[in-house]
Amino acid sequence: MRPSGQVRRWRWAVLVAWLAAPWAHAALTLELQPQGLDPAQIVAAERTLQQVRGRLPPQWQARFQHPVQVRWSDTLPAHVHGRARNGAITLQRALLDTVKDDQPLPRPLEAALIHELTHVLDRSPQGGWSRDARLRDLAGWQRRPWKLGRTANAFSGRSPDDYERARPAEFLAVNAEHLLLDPDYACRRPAVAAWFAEHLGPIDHTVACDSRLPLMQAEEDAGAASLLELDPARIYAVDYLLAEGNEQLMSRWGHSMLRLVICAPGRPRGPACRMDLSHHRVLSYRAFVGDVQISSWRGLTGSYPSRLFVLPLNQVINEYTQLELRGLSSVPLALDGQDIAGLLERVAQVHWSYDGRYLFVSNNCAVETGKLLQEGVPRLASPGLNRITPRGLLTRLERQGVADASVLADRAQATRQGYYFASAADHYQQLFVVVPSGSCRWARQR
Amino acid sequence: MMRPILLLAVLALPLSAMASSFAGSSAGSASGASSAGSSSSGDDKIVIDARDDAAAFVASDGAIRGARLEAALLHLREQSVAQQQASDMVLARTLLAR
Repeated sequence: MRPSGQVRRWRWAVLVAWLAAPWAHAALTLELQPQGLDPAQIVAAERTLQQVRGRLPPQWQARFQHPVQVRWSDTLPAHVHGRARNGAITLQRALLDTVKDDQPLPRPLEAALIHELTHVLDRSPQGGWSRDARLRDLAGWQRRPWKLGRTANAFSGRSPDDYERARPAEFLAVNAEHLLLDPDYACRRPAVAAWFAEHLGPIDHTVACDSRLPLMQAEEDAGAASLLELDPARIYAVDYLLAEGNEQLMSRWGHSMLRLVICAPGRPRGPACRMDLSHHRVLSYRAFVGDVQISSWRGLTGSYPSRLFVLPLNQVINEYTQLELRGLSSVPLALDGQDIAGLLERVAQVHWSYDGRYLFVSNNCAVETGKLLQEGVPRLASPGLNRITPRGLLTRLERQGVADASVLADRAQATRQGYYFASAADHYQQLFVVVPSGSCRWARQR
Repeated sequence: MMRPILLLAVLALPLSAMASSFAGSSAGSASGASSAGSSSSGDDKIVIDARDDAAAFVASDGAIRGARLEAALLHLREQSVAQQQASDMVLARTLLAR
């Protein structure tokens, strides 16, 4: 028994070594093409190649199957730092003159080489990461309803380099620059950093990030706003909040929102947080209207920006049930702690960078909320939540087993537990029934 | 009795309506119902937020029990032992009297 076991073990070891061999050999080789460079530039170029090679994590290096030639040219347009063609890289020669012996390499030079190396990797037969659906979701090329492809990238706010919105391949390359050069990149774009780690290999610099997410929230006094520093660990659950429709054209189909069930400070996450209503917040996509009057034509053609507002739940309840006489249903979504953290991170990104257009049909609140959910929680992305009515989106969530509308079955209990907020019109109706008997008694007592 | 007065108070809420997936520059309008002015932080806030629900509860003879009232009752009973003994209706009235 023993010898045969040993032989078997050896056989395994040989097989593993043989399989791993091509990977071990395939490593990144950068070949400097010194034509047209003076000796000082050659020294600077060699230093650059060596240092940038060291910046690439070992798993990235191992993905290069062929040596990469690096040329230096004066003929590139002034605004272009580098180009990658057929697995070879051409960089702007003037960049080499910015290298100083006793100082760290200039960032544009390092960034340009990392950028082009990422293109080479992406275009290699093993590459194609820029076509990944999740990366496009994260980057902001959002899915349109009815499977009509993807929108243009509207995540224009607070971009470190607007070139990243040109094409998904450029998004990949620009973000690779920042990932490898900025130690706090993983704090700024945690979801994209996690995507890189999953698809291309982990990055070893670890920076402790602040888990709190800054959001501007509207205050109850009109016009006032404050900064809400929200820790996802304080969120017990996320509900789909649906406002019933009314006769108004813009609100006939209802309005979809998300309710964050935030626990009061000091209370551990649990069902008791459902009663901390004054701490709950609502995420609501709305058209941002500067005019006094809403124009249907402008709504149809997308003249209004679509923004993600953060509002106190109490304000939302008052606004809908008392001012607009519409009931609100709050349907819990089956999301775990990790889902909620991912969703919140997406919320913060959309809140600060998204500058989309509100369209009555193809980019309304239901479409936006669906996109937010499937981009924040990747497992909801297939078959997707692209629905154009708030009720349609709720039905879709129920079919996927994510929403549980059974809490609404008993209306009185739902009202008491905060799953349903009745329109004040319902209350008036109920009171008219109560009052006649009440006033008679009142008369008798007198 | 308070009931007709309460009914009037509830009915006096503003009835104007606006398309709500549209926000003005102030990110939506503030409700005219909750009493403004006094401090609205911490404990008070839970009580102030619950006023409309408490009014509906008292006026409907306990038939309408909103979640905000529920939250305020929990909060009041957590605060003092005396209030643990009081009935929901008494607490709702106390809440309105504040």
